Amino acid sequence: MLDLIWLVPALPLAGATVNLFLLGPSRPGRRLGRNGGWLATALVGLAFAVSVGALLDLLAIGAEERVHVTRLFEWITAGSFSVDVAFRVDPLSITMALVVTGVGALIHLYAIGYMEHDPRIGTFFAYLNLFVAFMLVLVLADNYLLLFVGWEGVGLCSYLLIGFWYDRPTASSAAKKAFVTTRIGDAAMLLGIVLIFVHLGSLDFDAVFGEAAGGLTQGAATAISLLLLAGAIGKSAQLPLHVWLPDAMEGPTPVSALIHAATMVTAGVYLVVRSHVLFELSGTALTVVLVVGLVSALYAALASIGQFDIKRALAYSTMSQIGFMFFAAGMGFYTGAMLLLVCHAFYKALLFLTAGNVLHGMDDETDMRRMGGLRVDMPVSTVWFAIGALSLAGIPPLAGFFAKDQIVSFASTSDRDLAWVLATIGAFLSALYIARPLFLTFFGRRRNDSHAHEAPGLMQTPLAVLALLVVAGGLVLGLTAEGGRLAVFLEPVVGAVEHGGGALSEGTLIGFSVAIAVAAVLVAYWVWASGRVNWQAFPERQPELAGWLANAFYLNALYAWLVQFPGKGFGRALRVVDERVIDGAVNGVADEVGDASRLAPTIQRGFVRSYALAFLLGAVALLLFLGLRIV
Amino acid sequence: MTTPISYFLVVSAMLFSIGTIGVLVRKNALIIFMSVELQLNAVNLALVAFSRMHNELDGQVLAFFSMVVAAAEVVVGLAIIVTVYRRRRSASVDDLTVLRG
Amino acid sequence: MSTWLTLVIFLPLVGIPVLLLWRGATDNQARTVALVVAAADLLVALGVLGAFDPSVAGYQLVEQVEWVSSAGLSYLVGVDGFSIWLVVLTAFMTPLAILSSWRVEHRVRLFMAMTLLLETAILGSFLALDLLLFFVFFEMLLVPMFLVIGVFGSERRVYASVKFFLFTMAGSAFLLLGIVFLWFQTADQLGSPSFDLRQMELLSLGATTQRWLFVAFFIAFAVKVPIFPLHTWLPDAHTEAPTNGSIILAALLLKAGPYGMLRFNLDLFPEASRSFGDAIAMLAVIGIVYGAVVAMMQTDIKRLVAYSSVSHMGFVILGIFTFTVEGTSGAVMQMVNHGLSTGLLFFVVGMLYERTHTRDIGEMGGLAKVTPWIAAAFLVATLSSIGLPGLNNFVGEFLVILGSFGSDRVLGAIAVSGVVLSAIYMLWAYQRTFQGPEPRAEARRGLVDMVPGEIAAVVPVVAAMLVLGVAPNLALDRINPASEGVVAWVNSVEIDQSGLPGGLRAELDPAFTVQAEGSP
Repeated sequence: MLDLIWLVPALPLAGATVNLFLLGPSRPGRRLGRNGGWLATALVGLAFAVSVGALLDLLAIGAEERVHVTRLFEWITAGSFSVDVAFRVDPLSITMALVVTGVGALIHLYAIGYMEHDPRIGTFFAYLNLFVAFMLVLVLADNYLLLFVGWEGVGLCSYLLIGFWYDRPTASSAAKKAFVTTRIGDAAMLLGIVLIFVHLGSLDFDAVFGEAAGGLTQGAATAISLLLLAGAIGKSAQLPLHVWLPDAMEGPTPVSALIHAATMVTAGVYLVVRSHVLFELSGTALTVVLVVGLVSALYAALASIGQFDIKRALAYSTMSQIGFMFFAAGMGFYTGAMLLLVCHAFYKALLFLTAGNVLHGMDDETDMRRMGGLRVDMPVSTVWFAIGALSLAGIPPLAGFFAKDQIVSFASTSDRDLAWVLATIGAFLSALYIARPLFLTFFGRRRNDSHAHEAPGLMQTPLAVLALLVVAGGLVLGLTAEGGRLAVFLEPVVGAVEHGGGALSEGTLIGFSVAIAVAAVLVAYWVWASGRVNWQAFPERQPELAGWLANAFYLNALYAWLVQFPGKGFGRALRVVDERVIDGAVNGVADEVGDASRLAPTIQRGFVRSYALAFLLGAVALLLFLGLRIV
Repeated sequence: MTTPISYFLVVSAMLFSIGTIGVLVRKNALIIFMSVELQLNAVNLALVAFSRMHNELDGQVLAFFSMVVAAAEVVVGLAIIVTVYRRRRSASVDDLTVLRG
Repeated sequence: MSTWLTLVIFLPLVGIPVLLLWRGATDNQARTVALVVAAADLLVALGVLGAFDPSVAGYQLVEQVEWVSSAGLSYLVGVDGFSIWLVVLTAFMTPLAILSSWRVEHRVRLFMAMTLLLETAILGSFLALDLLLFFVFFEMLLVPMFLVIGVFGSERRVYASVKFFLFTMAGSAFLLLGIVFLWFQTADQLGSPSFDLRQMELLSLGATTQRWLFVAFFIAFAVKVPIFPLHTWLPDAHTEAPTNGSIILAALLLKAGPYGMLRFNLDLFPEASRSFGDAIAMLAVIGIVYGAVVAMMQTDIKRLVAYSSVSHMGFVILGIFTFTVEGTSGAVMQMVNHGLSTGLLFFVVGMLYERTHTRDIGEMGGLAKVTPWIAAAFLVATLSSIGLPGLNNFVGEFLVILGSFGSDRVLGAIAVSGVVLSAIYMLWAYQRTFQGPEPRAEARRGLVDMVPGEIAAVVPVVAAMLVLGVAPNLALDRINPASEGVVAWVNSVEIDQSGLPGGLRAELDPAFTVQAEGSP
């Protein structure tokens, strides 16, 4: 099965092709479309099965040798540069692959019901499959260039899917914004990849990580790491390349769940963890990762609290959670970051899909101010959302508790006091910002008149599975930071993690975490569900503060201004230069030649006697010339 | 008898100058033609004088060439002038400005 | 002596007398004749490809026939890693161009004849190894292009075609000077005069002489590329030309410039190339950014694509003047890639123009709802153009950037920004043109999706783009030996020596042995 690992990306790719050409834009029939959806789901499920098989094969090998590389063919060769299409199965990549295919299959299943009425459902599943294919290429690649193929490929699919309903100008603008913003990071990442080759002569992971210690100066390692990090920042929507993520919620909800919660945005974390050797060689880069993560986490947490659109609130919460993952990685706690990545995939997908239920039931209403009290009409969804939210908040024994608690504890034991304090604040805020939509949407007084209906069974099934994963996942994967199954599994790839002793004992830390989470949830309940706090009046009473929160500190507006003024201004200036100056010079030369040409015939006045004089003068001149020269 | 060559050359130069001035100053095409003939003959005179001076026949032969060419040119030129005169009723060179730029 | 190359060059000419003399032909018959001839030429080109041996580094399939022996002028053609794919590209794109102008109604015979003449001229330029012969073909392609733009173009066609013609010809004047000078040198140094490139490779030229000659040759090619700031003929020519003309101009004519630089400048003037390399690379990078930024400001969709060509050709020039194998091979690949992707872009834009009768992006919108397949084709061309990995342009651009890091990292870093900029303007164009709400009923009249003839033209291009993106080694395997040869040659000479050892070329590259006069 290990050698068949190429099937894992190939299966969804085949699904994409079939859906695109057979069931695509010219055949909007619904029945055909649903079949396309089943096909797409089945293929992803099959890919999951192959991944499981690969996992089993991998486990059969001893822990230290769990790396299997399958070379398919030579891709690009020129001069001293050569790179193959090669896939790698090791604990890190197979973990990612399982998450992508597993959660992906569930989301595909959900989407069959959600997108049922859309005329372009075939195209939708084609894009969704294509996305899964590229994401798998990304995580299973054995060299940086192939990873980059997957990297940009998921960016493309993100573009296609965000802008899926392209007749809405907001959607197509959001798609373009996502693509361009991430491309800035991608361009930097490309430079980093080129630098890797220039210094180390190869892009294959084994070669790069093996030679890095000897072949790279600290400066080079820093440059490379920071460039790769720029790509990660873009793809994972961290500051300052985060502005695309909230707008990306224009896409259909399954897209938000799959791409912008569970998988694509976590690609940055994967990149950092995979390249940890390079980051560790440069101490600075790891610190930058830490700072970026922490700042993004706090920023996004505050922004999430200010959002009234349920999807945007969840989007910022994703950004915040990924910030935590970066934070963990920046501390060197890669297994913690990965545990959070996996658990987050489960509960975030659950949260988004449940939000999809709400949209489905509320006729695409997304503003939470017009929701409330939906637990009466949508009890099942309430349960799902509660499970997801409490998990994110960090209530044991749900998955999120294990992941987040380990990271915060690690911060406390690793001698980074300021970071620990900030992380704890972040933990509090995250519980707060996720409990808020829970209470706003499902609890409290009804603020709408329409009768919301619960989602059908087809859509609820994957949610049930996800909920189960959320409940059990933490226990199965990450009971402790050192001995958790996932941590042990990943250790050969990421190295052993040292957990220092801290001032506080483990038990105290756990208790503290839980207390914070519970407190935050209670505060959220009191503010938004109990009816005792007039949260609706907040924007009027404190317009400035509300404005800062709702507009995410106006960063979006700042970027828009920058694009408009320096950006387009420069463009306009160059255009004028091109048309007036450069082309002006060309046309000017032509005009001058024309004018000179019009001057020349003026000596032909038709006056014969002047011609005669000219003859005479010419003859005299010639004679003088000859005479003087010969002499 | 040895007349100094300079006498011939001075006469030739005077003839040539008269002819040149005639070409430049006169308006009547026929007069201009006559002036050109004067120029050519002045040159013939100089050629023969030099031939005599060097005691070689080259100058005289060249004078013959010159006379033949002058004759041919007169034929063509007079034909043109007569045709122009017939069309325009004027032999004045100043009126022939059709080919101006 | 093989006749593959002569066949591929002159086969299109066969169609011309048929077209011009067959008075009673209907328009459709004329178009069919042209298409058949072009398709036949494609088959011959594939034959050339088959006959091409990837393991040989020098010129292959060489044909030589003495023309004016006292002047050393002969009909001399040969192919190597640099020209083989350009030949295939030309033969591939010409039938496409013919298909793209199937609906032109007036003076069809002249149109088709000019297209075929263009094909011959372009192929001849790529294959000629005799410098004067090259010049003849190089200039030959100006006249049909001038007619195509001037007769069949849009509103400002006369201005655009005259500008194109004069600008290019002015540059070529310097080329002629350089060629003649070299001819005199061969007479002096080698005993008998010759225009044969292989003979000229043996010349030893002083450093200053080399530099002047380099500049002379360079100006002519730089106008063709075009390199900033000699680019201003391009937007007008591309915009005003009919679809057919734009495709040929962008996909094929533009390649004559960088090809000339590779074939002549680097080969004959290695020392001068190295001296000027940094400055030229800088111009190239300026062109990348400049072309992209100005493209962003365009409202005419053809003009936008034209400026994007300026930007993309910057990558090609950058790659050539890195003097690395990666950069050079990347540049040659980019020539082919750009031909495919920009050719497709102009094709789609032409389809749009035929249906909407406007090039103004502001007047279009929501077309994806009405013509989804055209939208898809445009999107694929866009994705290729912006360098999405998996499609062809990524490979070339990556190799060029890799190569540029061998010489100047700052330039490479700036060049990468081209990737971001191109995404910005292309996606903006796509969004404004195709996305958005459906156009109103009256605007929708005449908007049909791609017809089978157009699909037949689009599919091969898309397939080629995919193949080159996924398996570029198919192309690179044939390009690399030539790149390695040129790069080794250029890097082997010292800069700033007053005289260069003659015959060094022959010592370094056994593949480039000079044939004795008169034998093939």
